Amino acid sequence: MSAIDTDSNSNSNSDMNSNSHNKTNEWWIFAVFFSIIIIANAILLGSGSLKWGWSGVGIMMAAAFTIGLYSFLYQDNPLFKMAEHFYVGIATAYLIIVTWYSVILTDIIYALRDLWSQPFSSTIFWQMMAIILPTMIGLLVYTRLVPSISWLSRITFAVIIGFGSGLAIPNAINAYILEQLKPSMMPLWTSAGGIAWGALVIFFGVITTLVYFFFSLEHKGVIGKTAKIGIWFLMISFGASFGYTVMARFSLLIERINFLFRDWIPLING
Amino acid sequence: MNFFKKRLPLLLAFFTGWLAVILDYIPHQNGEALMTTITKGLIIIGAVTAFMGIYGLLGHHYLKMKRKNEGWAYSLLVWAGFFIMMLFGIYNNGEWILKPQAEVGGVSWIYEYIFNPCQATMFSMLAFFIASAAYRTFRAKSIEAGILLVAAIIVMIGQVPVGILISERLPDISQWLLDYPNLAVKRAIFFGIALGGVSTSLRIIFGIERAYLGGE
Amino acid sequence: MKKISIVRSLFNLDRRIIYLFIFLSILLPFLVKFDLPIKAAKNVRNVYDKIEDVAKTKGERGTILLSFDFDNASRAELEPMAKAIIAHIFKKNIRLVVMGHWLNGVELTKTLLNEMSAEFKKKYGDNYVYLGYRPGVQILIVNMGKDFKSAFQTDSQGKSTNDFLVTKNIKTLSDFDYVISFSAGSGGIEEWVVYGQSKFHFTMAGACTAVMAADYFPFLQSGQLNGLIGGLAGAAQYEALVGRPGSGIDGMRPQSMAHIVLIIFILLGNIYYLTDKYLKNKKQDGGVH
Repeated sequence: MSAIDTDSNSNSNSDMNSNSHNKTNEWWIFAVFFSIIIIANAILLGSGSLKWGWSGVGIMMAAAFTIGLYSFLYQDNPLFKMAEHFYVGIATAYLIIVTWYSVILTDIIYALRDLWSQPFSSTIFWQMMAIILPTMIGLLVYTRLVPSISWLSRITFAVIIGFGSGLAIPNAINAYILEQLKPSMMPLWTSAGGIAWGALVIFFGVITTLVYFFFSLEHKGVIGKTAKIGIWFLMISFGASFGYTVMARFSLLIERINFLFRDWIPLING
Repeated sequence: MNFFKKRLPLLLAFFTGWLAVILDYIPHQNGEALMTTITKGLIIIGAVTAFMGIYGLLGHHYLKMKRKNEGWAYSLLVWAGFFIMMLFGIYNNGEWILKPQAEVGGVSWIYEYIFNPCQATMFSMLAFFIASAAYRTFRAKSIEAGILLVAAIIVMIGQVPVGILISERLPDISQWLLDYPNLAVKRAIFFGIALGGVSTSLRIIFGIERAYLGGE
Repeated sequence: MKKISIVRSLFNLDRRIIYLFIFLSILLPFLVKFDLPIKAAKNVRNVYDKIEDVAKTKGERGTILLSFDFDNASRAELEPMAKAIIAHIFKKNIRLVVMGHWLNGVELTKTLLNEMSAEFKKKYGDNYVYLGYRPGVQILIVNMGKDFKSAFQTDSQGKSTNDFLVTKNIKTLSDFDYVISFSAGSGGIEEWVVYGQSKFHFTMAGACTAVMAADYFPFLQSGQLNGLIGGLAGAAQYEALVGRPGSGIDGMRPQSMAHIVLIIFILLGNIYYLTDKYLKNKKQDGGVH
């Protein structure tokens, strides 16, 4: 018991030490960050590499946010969290702005205004209904904010999810199964070309992978061996995906470094 | 009342689900017109409902500020970012909200110089994490892990120009891995996605899956 | 025991040292210029050939739809591709229609189109149109396939699509000579293939982030996609085909170098693992005897 107590005491002591150490580091991160931003921008503005104006200030701002977020690579710190939270707020507002100007304004308000300006007829009436009715159904979702009538929002979800599910059935069968089965059933051997190695690899790959995912049967005997080959195929595919993922991640970093050292600090020429 | 609260949504899902299936198979002119009207209606519903998620996010941060929870000042920044962007969005470069969105102005500036670098930087950090994780965990501990490792290295080298300098055959081998074994696996996964998707859709249409309707 | 601890201390690198190497492997190749051979893969060439074919067979009446289904998170990979393809389309005087399934990509699409149209002196409405964003993805694609003007009565500025030369005669998705989705995830290529191409049978290609590229090979063999451009390397290949070097080709030096550095790290990690395992086994054997 005493040993446990001692351990926990030493743990909490070390936690406190590391907390205070982190707090000191956080101040250092702030100091280094502001020093870099102030000194670099002063030099860049002084040398004429950056010009005052919306574009110049924008680049400085972008650089500050980029470096602020990268400070996380050293350790988690308030600077990172500040940038992150501010960005979340902006993204949220942007969602409203785009939805308003791209859809609500054009497809609801302008569309209704145009219909309203035309001479009234049954066609116009139904065209207006085709906009008003879905708008009303959509608005029902906000009844979730009033607990006593929140069940009305289920109507909106039922319509969206129900129709979406129905639409998925024929299209998934068509695109993922029927269209994919056709090239899987190519001849594995032809009198003119001999064995079609590519088709053979695909054929065995598909079968063995499907067998691996067939968990209703115990993976023993022939099934077990087939599933084993399926795993090898899976490993090749996952390896290929990993290789490509590495490429993707580095590409994003390349763009950021390009921004920092070409657009902000003109280190990279051309 | 119980009918409206519980049965009606399930009936609606059943009806709209089968309607979508039937309309998909009917090439008749009226069926096509109905499909067009319904899908357009759903686009409008999608737009109108888009703001619902925002309430949850902003409400969460509002409560954090109100209760002075740990890190409440960060929540203030969420609201600050939101308000600043919204102000420019409403102002619309002097055109206000009933005119089409302005081509230039505060929204474009904030998007280009704050939103863009933030989002791009957040995702670019994954390059560092993937490198560190690969160094520590990407080990040939078994035959399967070895196959994974070799395939990854071949694709990593073969898909970039430096691969040709190392060996002229490397890009071809990498392409072969993608074109045949990888294709076979992805196709088998497609079959799984389709069957899983169809069964989930049927569960929703028949009212077996009800999680999307929320509690109670 | 001592040997094991030496090996462990040698290989137990602080993550920040790895970060530093990765950072340098990207920065230094930007500073030191060297040429790398860029050879277009057949899936990339197919996209190029199809656009050439549209130009040859349809001339100025040819219309291509580009769907910008990405945002800033993958802008680094997909924007170079989009630039190279738009340059190709504009060079060939093919009409261009641009839309997007991703809400966060609206502003970047506008900026890109303004920049490219200014460079190639293209007129809005006569040569290109930006339709903007609409929600719904699958539903939107089906709606476009049934009646294009229902989905997009207006462009992003609220002007009627009937008034533009580019979109005047488009009735359904099948009226487009080619559709390309620039995709960074859900709400992109896959939805276009499942709810668009497989249903309405138009020719389409995918341009995607490298993360997703390996997933779409079955669509290539089945003919649901006629071409696929994957990641920054794909962008570089397309830039080489159109003879317009941009950030794709420029990025291939750091990209190649970073890959090599990462492979060295992976190999070092494995050497450490095998050495550690060997020393442990040796120690155990020593203990038994």
